[in-house]
Amino acid sequence: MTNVSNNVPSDTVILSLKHIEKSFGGIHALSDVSFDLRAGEIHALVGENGAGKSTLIKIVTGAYTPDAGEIQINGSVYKSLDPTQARNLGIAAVYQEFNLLPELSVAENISLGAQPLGRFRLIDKKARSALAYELLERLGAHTHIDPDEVVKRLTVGEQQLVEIAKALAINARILIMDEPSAILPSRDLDRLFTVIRNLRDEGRGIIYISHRLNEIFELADRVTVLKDGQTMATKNVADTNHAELVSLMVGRPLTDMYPPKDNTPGEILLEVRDLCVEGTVYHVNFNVRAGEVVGLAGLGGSGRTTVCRALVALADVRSGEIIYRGKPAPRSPAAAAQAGLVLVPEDRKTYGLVLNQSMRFNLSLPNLSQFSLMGILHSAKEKGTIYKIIKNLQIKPPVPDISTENLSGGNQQKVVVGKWLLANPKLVIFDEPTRGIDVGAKAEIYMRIRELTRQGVGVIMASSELPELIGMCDRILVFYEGRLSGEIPREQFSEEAIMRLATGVKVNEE
Amino acid sequence: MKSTITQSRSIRSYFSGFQTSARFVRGVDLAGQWAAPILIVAVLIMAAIFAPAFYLPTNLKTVGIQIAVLGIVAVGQTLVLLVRSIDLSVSAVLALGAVIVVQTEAGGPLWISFVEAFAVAAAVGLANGLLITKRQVPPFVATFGMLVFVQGARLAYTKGQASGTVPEILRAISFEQVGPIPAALIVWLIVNIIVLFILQKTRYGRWIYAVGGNPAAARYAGIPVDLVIIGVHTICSMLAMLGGLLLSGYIGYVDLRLGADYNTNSIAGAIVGGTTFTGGRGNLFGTAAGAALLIMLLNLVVVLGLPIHWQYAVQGIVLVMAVALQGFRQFLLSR
Repeated sequence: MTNVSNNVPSDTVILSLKHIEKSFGGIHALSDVSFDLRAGEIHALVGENGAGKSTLIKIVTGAYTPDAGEIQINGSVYKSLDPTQARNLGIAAVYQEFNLLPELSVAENISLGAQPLGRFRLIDKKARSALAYELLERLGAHTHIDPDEVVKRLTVGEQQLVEIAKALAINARILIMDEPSAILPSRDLDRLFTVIRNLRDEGRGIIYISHRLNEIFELADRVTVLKDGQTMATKNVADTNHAELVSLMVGRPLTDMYPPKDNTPGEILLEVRDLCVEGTVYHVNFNVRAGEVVGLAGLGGSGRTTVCRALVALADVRSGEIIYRGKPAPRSPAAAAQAGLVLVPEDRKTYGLVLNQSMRFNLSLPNLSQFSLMGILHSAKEKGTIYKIIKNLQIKPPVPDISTENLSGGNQQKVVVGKWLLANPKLVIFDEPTRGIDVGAKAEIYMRIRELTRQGVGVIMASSELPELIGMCDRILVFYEGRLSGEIPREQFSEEAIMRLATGVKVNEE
Repeated sequence: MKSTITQSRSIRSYFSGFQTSARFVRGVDLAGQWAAPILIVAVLIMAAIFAPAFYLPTNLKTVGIQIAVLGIVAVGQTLVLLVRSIDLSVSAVLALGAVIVVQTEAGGPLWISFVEAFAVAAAVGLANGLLITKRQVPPFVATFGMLVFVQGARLAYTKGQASGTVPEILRAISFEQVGPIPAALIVWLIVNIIVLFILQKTRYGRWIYAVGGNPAAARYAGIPVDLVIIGVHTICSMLAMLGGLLLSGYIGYVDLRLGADYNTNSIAGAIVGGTTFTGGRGNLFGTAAGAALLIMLLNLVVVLGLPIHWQYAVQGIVLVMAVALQGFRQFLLSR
């Protein structure tokens, strides 16, 4: 294996993008972006959702063709790249959604693009495993990842290392990491950072995308801020600070993300008694009051999302009772929505939106009976209501007929929230309401939640982002392996307290 | 480590090696949307030059009625494709209709046989829908099974040979003319107007597009996904029945092989018109144009005096080209 640092002196610019432009159906995703990456640096790329980070990455990896501008790699100039070309130039990307084949082994996955061949040009399995082992060793992961293990049995963190090993297998000089920390449990973060630093010290250039600014100060050498498809600034991390980056990103100083608590809990809206869902949730009891924000915390698979789904009849309740406003809760999602009990689901692209349809279509979808008489739609009424909610939530661009696949993540999320706000809810369940959206859109969603509680609407907020639970909730219920492991009142909120309950540590074990 | 490392090239990379300009992408997109109408104009011009017999009034009438029959069946097929399903039993239902009407006419009053025919069609569609939603049978398998079953049932019912004459009323709504226009075309127009209204102006129409576009999101939005799919299959079967009645009214007798090509042709018509197999995309204007184009091409095979079996080649080519064009369009738009 070649060591990159031998042939590329550091401080050499290995990738340079100049005045890149790209638009989709008349909407500018990138209007003027310039960016450069040196060998042996970690260059962070930050910006709100919709600022153009993903589009920029797709241009570098050859998935998109830019409309204008040029790409310089190792001194050669390109108008655009295609994926094969990009790979041959040593560009690799690790996305949040892995490109791994879950049924194949680690070694098979690592060698997927370049199989080691032996006699008769057949695949040399020994060499393949040896290569995988060697690459994993360089990542310091050889001790706990077996090259012959099937990928689906690995943890998320281990799969991520396999993705990085794949990049090393093609000897990537330019490694793009798209929010690698968003999917990792915090205990795997240090290992990831060590790996990234080692790759940098070998002389590779790393583009690191993250919404978590703390990480950037811990890890990166330089940082580039994108806003509205333009480069705002490129700074040495040592010369900047948190506040400056945020104000560059949002274009205004952001004082407090979480609006002050101004709600007073009223009567009990929802009561859950001894709720069980086959195989996932066991004997859960809790209640929610009008005007109250109740947080649901817990690691992935803790039963948190299943409880949310069971409340609106999207999961089958095995036993137990759900009492909503004094009566058993409706047992179909439509009836629940009719009664004002709605779920803003996690993962907007899978559960929230019909992506190939317009904003208007999506916002109307659960509310069609409001705009129709005997099943026939009254389009003037519909348009009026849709126009109001778009304006109210400041969804951009404010074009009702734009296809939702052309919206940024934050605006897509606003559409999902908006369609349920139109249903005049009495109790809103938010599951991961701010996953993968930028600070500006986050703050707006928090404001919206406060507004709901002021009107006496009850809110359940399920999230894996502890700061937002702490900032927004009146109490937090913590789930561990399908059971409620504890309830924390507002006075005792702390990340440690939540984590202790979420990981099953008993209080008396301390 | 003594082994060669080879770079494998995926199919995708061959595809993406292709440099495109924004203008080219727009061109392909427009071609995908307007392929059927543009080709119709081209075919009409070519026919005027090379096959003037195409424009003889009797031939135009034949073409018109055939477009109407296929057009009606293709409307049903479009609805089914919109919810990510497919219906391979339309040809069997279509053939069954004529048989029921013709055979019962001898006995009771005519309207009863019509009610019977449409009830049987609705039952077939309902069965398709129930198998697909409640038993999770893949649509391809469920409707193919239904095709075989209905064909078998028809043969058993007629004991292998259909007999009887087609009632006058079917001739009236199919072969007779309203002014210069065959009645069947007017029936086709009415069907299109009704279904277009359902798709554009009703809650059920939105549900159809939502279920096809993203079934999970539709479920989360409280849409009764199973009912939408069952309903669409029922409508599709009933439209196939209507197509069958018009077809027998036009032919004037009942043939056991009646309507065998309507599975491929209704799917091809919808796909040429821009409907996709992946659901949630498609419209009736495209389907109408797609059905018309296909019938015109098939007719030209006859008018030009080519061996009749060339019709199969035409059907195959149109279907494959249409799917290829729509796939390429999708690919370019996603870049």
